[in-house]
This record gives sequence, C-alpha cells and structure tokens, in this order.
Amino acid sequence: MLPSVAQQISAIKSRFEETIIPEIPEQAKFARDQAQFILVTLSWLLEVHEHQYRFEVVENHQYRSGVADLVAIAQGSAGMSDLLREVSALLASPAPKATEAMIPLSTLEGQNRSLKGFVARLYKAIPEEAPEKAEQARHVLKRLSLQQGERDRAFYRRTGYVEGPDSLGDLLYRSE
Amino acid sequence: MKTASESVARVSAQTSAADLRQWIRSLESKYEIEPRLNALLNERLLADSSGAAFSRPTVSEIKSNLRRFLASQLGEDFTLENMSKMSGGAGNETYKFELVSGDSSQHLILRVKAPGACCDTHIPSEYQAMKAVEGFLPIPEPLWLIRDSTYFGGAALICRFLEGVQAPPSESLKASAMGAVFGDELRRELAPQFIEYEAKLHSFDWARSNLTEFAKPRPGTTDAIDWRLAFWDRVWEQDLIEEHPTMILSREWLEKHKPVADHISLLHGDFRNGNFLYDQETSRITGILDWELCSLGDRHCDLGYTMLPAWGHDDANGEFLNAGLATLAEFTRIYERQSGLKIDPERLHYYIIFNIWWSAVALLGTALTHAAARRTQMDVLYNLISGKGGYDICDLNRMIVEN
Repeated sequence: MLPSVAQQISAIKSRFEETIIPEIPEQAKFARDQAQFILVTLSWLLEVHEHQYRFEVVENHQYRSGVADLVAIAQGSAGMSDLLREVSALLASPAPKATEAMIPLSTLEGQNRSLKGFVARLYKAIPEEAPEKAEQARHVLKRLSLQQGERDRAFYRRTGYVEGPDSLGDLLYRSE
Repeated sequence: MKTASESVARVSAQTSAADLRQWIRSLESKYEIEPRLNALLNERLLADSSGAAFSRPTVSEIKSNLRRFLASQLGEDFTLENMSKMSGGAGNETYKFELVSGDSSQHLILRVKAPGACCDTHIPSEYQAMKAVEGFLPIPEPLWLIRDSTYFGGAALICRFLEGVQAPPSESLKASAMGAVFGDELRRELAPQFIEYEAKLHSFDWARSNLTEFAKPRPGTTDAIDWRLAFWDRVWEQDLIEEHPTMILSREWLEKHKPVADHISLLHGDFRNGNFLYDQETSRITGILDWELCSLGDRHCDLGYTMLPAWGHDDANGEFLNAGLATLAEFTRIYERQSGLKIDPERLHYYIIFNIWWSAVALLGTALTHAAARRTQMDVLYNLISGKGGYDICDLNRMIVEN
C-alpha cells in the first residue's frame, strides 16, 4: 500500500506542526489547545494503528475463552436458557485463528516488496536464459498487473483522481 | 518495532560515501542522459545522503537573501515590499514581491529550486527556454538567472509577475488546476489561443537561440526519446520504493515502439490546462507558465502530454476535450494550420503512453520517496497526488496491458 497509512499520518503531523500551528494567532488559545491535542493523537495513532487487527484477534480469543468459562459455570441454571442460547450462537460464529495477524504489518509489507522485486528480476532473467518461455512469463506479469491495477483503483478512489465502483473493503473481502 | 513506512528511502545519512560514489558510477554507465540532468540527479543523491536536516528558510530569510542579490545588481536604492510565498510550487518554490525604487514599483516573481521536488528540473534551462520564446509567446519576462547557490541554496530565477487566473474559481481545489474545467463558452475562447501558442512553440526555429544548457538531439533519429527514457529509467531506479508489474510491461512496450523524430522542436514539457493564465474579463491568455520541464525533442512528446486523459473530460456530446479545451479534430486543425507540422496519430499515441509512464515514475517513485524521507514540505500533497499515479497505472493497464 503506497503511501502507507503510517506515511500519511506522519506527513499530516509534520505539516500540522511545522506549517499550520505557527500560523495560528497566539491569542487563539482554544484553537492552539485543540491543535496540540491533535498532534498528541496523531503520535498515538502512528504507534498503534498498525496493530489494530492483531489487537482485536488477541482480545477475541481472550474473551471467547472467558465467555466459554462463564457458560460452563452457568450450565444447569434454568432461568438462563435464553441468555445461553444467545451466547452459543455468538461462540459458533467464525473466529480468527489464535495465530492470525502474528506477522507484523511492517514484516508483511517488507515481504511483499521483496516479492515484487523478485517478479521484476525473474521477468528480466527468464527471456535471457530461456527465450521460449518469455511469453509464459509475460502472461504471469499481465495477470499481476491487472490484479494490482484493480487494487490500486480501489485504494486511490478517495483521492479524487481515480473513479471506480469498489471501495478497498468491497474488493479485499470479496476476494477472500 | 519499526513502523511499516520506515526504510523507504534508498539513500540516507547512513549510506557510506564509497557506496554512494559506486552507485553513481554504476547509474552513469547504465543510463545515457543529458549532462545537465545527469549532474542534477547526482547532486540530488549527494544532498539526500548528506544527513543535513531538512529545513526551509522562512519568507523573511528568503527576503533578506533576495535583497542581497538585488543589491549586487542594482545598488542599494530600492526596497522590497509585500513579499509572500505563493501556493503550488511542486518543482520550484515561488515568491511574489514588489521591487520599489523611487516612484516606480515592479511586481516580480522569484522561483527557487525546491528540495525534495517530485520532478528534477533545471532552472538554467528554464531561464534559457523562456528567453528564447519571450519574443513570440506571452510569458513572464525572465529578468535574472541566479546560478550562485549561496543566495537560495540552489539556482533561482526572477521574472515579471503576470496578472490572470489559471482556472475558474469553481476549480480552485484542484492541485495546480490539473484537469481544470472551463465551461463551453470560455473553452471556445481559450482553445484557439492555447493551441496556436503550442503550435508556434513547436515550429519555432530554435537553432539561433542561446540554448547552451540543452543537449541537441538529431532529427531522423531516436536520440531525444532515448535520452528521455534513460532519464526516467534512472529516476525510477534511484527512487524506486517497490516494483510494479504494469511499469515493467509499459517500459517494455515503450522500448519496442520507439519512433524516430522527424523534426526537433523546443518543448515546454508541461503544456496543459492549469499552466497558463488568462484574463477573466477578456478571456485572453496572458501567460504560459512553468517552463521547468523544457527540452528539445519530438513535438508529439508535448502534444501527448497536452492530450493526457487526466487533463481532459468529455463535452456534452460525449466527445473528449483535450486539456478541457478542444476535441482532437479541433486541435489538429488549428495546430497543423498554425505550425505547418503534421500530427502523426501513431507517434501521438506513443507519447501519450510515454507521458503516462513517466508521470507514474514521478508520482509513485520520486514524490513518495521524498515524502517518506521528509525532504519536502509538500509531503501531504505528494501522498495525495499519488492518486494520480494510481490513475496512470489504470490507464497503462487499459491502453497497454489489456491489449
């Protein structure tokens, strides 16, 4: 994802700190206070936003385990049957694996970048070593181009430059 | 734990001087580009690795240095008034000021090379190109070229301020008025002037002009496009954040279909809506701006840029208006009549692809690298206009990859 969310938050923070805040008049105390709160919040977001998905997975497992323990304790209490039925339905819904999102976002991003680098190197090397396979390699690249182009179209949609029917969420969860 | 966006920039204060020298040698042996641009790219790599913290002078510091420069030219009998930084300025930072001497006052513009710009541009060439065309095109009259970097940290130029607007007020939120929409009545007034100026530029005999900064490509060869491709290849290698399969396939297509230039023209490089000023009362074009991407080459390179899908839109009949001003038929008729030069549809198509490709290099490579490395005050804008880079990728897929 280029630019990453972290890069964008970081740039917004710099512009706010270096360009906008110095232009707020000294006497506009309320506006200056809010600006400082925004800066603190942006620093907070920069530190935590990459970990939200893993955070939710960890929390999901801990609470599923806690709820299951409470259900076990509650078994046999006739007055709780409606509540237990409701809880069972939730516990039966799809859960993430305990190891889901264990690969940190930065590691995953680095891995994807390396994979793209190998695509470029292999695509250059194949026709040199085996010219008869060049067309096959081009076919793979074409597939990757169109897949990434579809993702780019959804990712950049809100910048105002690209028009597309799908939001990034629509696209990514559909392909799941 | 590192954040995901760290380690994007390939050159930093941690890069050793020996590694950097070796990389520069390897880049120079790989890519044959114009000497002025080669020097520019080397200077940038050296600056990026200097470790000097990025900071920009304040307006009052710029004013003080401007005063020092003008005193060296005019003596001490003047004052500088109403100096302010203008918006925009992706390639150059632009300041407006009044030079007051006795009873006379002149409105002038100072353009200073901006560090961390999304395109590497060469102010001495910009100045020479402006001097070459000032007799027959409306441009801000260039007054001084300042090569001495002790004044502003890099080259700079001073020219006259021109009155006019880039686009109707309703288009004010578009960065650099890219893709500005004029409305039917206004576009009918502006289109013939815009096209005639582009035609005059391309048919201009530049051979007797002082264009010593420029390498001169030979007509009947692929010199010009070879140098341009090599330049952007090198920029992509220097600023690459990650490979993109569409960029690989597009570059392959550009190599395979390189056309020969029948005639070498002086090119503006950024001839589009948003880069000219017009008078709102009379609808007359008052100035062609932003000559920083100028070069010598095939006129179709400029025409392809003018006709990029991103700058235009469909009219009420569903016909595409190039630069928001003219259909291809209208454009061709006026251009060919004025210039005496033909528009070759095949070469035009080639250069549309070429311009989309290099735009993606600049926006997804250079701009995002500088934003990530905090080398520019335009970081928020650069992140945002990567959306135009995404648009370029979609266009390249539509025009090249899907076919």
